[in-house]
Amino acid sequence: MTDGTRPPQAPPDQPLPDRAWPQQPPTGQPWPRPAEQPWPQPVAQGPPRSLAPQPTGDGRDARAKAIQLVDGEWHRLHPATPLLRGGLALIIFLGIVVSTFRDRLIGMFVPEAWSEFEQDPFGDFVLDQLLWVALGTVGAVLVGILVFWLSWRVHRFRITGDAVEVEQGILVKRHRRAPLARIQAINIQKPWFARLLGACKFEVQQAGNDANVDLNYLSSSVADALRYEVMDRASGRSAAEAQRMAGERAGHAGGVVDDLLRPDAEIAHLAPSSLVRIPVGRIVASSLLDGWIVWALVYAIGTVVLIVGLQQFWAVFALLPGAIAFFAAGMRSLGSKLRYSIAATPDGIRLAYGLASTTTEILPPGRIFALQVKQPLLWRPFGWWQVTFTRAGRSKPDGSGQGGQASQMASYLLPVGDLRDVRTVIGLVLPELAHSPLVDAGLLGQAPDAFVVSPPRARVFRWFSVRRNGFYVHDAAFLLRAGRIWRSLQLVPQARVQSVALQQGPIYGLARLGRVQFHVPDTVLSPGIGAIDQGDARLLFDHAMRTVKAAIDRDGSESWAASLSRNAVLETAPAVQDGLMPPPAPPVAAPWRQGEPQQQPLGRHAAPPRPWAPQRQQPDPRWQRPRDER
Amino acid sequence: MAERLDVAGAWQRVSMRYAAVESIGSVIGWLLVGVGATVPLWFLHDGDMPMWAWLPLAAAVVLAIVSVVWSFLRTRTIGYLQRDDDLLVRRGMLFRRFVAVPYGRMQIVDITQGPIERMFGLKSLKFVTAAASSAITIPGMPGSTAEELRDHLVAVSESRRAGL
Repeated sequence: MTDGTRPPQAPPDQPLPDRAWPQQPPTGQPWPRPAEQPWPQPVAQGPPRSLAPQPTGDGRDARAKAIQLVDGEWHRLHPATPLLRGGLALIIFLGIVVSTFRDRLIGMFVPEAWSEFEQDPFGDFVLDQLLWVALGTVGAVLVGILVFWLSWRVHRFRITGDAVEVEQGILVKRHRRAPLARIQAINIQKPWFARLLGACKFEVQQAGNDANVDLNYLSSSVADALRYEVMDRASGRSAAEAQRMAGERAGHAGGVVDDLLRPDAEIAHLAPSSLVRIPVGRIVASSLLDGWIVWALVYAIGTVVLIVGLQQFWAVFALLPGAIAFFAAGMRSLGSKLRYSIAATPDGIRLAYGLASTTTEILPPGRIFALQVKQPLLWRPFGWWQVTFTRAGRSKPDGSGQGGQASQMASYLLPVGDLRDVRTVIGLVLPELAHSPLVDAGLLGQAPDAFVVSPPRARVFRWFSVRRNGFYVHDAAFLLRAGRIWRSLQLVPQARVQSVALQQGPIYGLARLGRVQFHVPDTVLSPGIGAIDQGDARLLFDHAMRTVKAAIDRDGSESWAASLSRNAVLETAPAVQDGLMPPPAPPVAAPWRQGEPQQQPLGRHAAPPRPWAPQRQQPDPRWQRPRDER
Repeated sequence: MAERLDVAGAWQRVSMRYAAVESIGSVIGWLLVGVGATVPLWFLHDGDMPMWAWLPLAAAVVLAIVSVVWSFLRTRTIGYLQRDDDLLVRRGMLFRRFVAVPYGRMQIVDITQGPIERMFGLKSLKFVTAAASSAITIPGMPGSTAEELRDHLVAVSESRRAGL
């Protein structure tokens, strides 16, 4: 039932010329590769790479299978793929047909008891032409099976040293290629039905709408290991280093458990290493207070009042379905959040969520374009926060009705957490800010602090938050703080900014205020700060372009193996302090890089932030003597 | 009125002929609206129009004149500035917007030319970054400047290519 049982090389009867595909891109240098190619292309049809001795168990088998899959040859997907991709609909259709004709079938054998079908012309036609109908049905089913089988035959993927490629289509061929350096995330989704068959979706996210390369479906037992293999290649890590890390993983992970009786089996072994632990009570309470379920309840109560109190029975049909849908949506997101875990891996941030249908996702460093920490008003007494983020790729439901989870949860980095969790999560994304008091200042603080805030005359535009509404330029990110009642803090990593806009409308013009907007991909967040002094806005704009340029130049996240700065965060993560997980091993420099000049590790020691405030000392003197009164 | 937000520099202005392009477009648009509102009124009154029935057309004419003046004023504010590391584009007089795009972030540079622009020999340059909200266009580039600027920008951005 697994891919690994088949020989690794593509069968010789493929309709397409395998050898015609170049292993390397012929021209151009669209993505930088390390000077020394750490992943030599295996000789075609050669034996799989020999493995060093490792702890026995599923982990080793899975890795062996995964290595067979990344040999640069074409491979097929899980045999149940056609069934999962659309064949399910065929089976359901057949089931409906059978159940519709069930009475008729019984009537054929017990004619006396089922005389009410005498007047059914369609049924009579079916009975009269029984032979032809039967033949037609069998023929249609056979053709359907043949088409599905053919589509499975021609649906192939291969993973080379540079890219993941997928090819599909019987009449219309579709070939898609994801360069490894441009991978935004790798998602493994296990819808509950696919789990029953031991299959999962393997989604390689790329920037853009509908640009993902999907390997739907793969065998669950191999998908996890395959993801590590792809990540190893994408990170530019040496083979020896990858080998060492695989050994570590096999040591404590034990591979993927396929135990249907435990819906959380997939992430059971991941959960202990989650950096934040969200108690179930907090998830439920926060969801209740978040609005969704509050509104659903209001809606339901209103419906009941309308029906029972005012005797308006028609309202049942108008309002109840909506209420049920509302409630179901809330419950579904609750279900996803219940098993939420976030962890740091050498390949970036790993998110996992879901109960019956699970999703695990690895976001390599530098794939998060903006972060927002916010606090709904009702969460405030409990000190809870939510962290959302924006990414360049987007996972798209494939129409089988089982892919909604990943797209629904795609923007949550932390569904709910206290201040310490927020600090940990921010530290994961921006290691430079891990121990910085700026995060606290951004979340809770107001005027006389490091942030440059709105001038008092902006009170008209920011009634309560004029002393909170402000920004700070850190070496790693822009921190934009807003809101006193609905607090929020946006963080935009400098190296991820696409462009910056400076705006001023006529009313802002009268008040000499300005707005600075940072442009990032996707529309989940549009980070910006309004109602700041136009001089400050101008300085922020100019400064931003200089620092963004510098940040882009030193950004090394396309192949991220060199910057193992994440470990700096882990040492002080709450999970480590609480004894939930062992402290990380010290980073080992990649051997082929030792000769090269050491790339400046990004925030390895969490360098003290160099405060930047436009020609001002702190605290901001405007709060002692507002400029307006001059 | 207080001094407005501004970014100093040797701004390259776009051709003032672009104001004519914009005016023609908006005049046609407003006249269509005015005529579209008047014709049903004409038929409703069987050609014997009361004074108020001419109001929509008059309003459209006034708006067309305003938009012509407006487009001349606005075209004066459109400009771009090539700096060392980024391209700066400005636009708008009341609603001012300055956008800075690092050269390495440009994904696509498009040149478009509409029918009215073609009559005046102008072209529009459009920059696409990975962020949809960037939305940068430089309209009214005369002659071959659009191609020259595009080729220059593509060359510069190719040499500074930076992922996402």
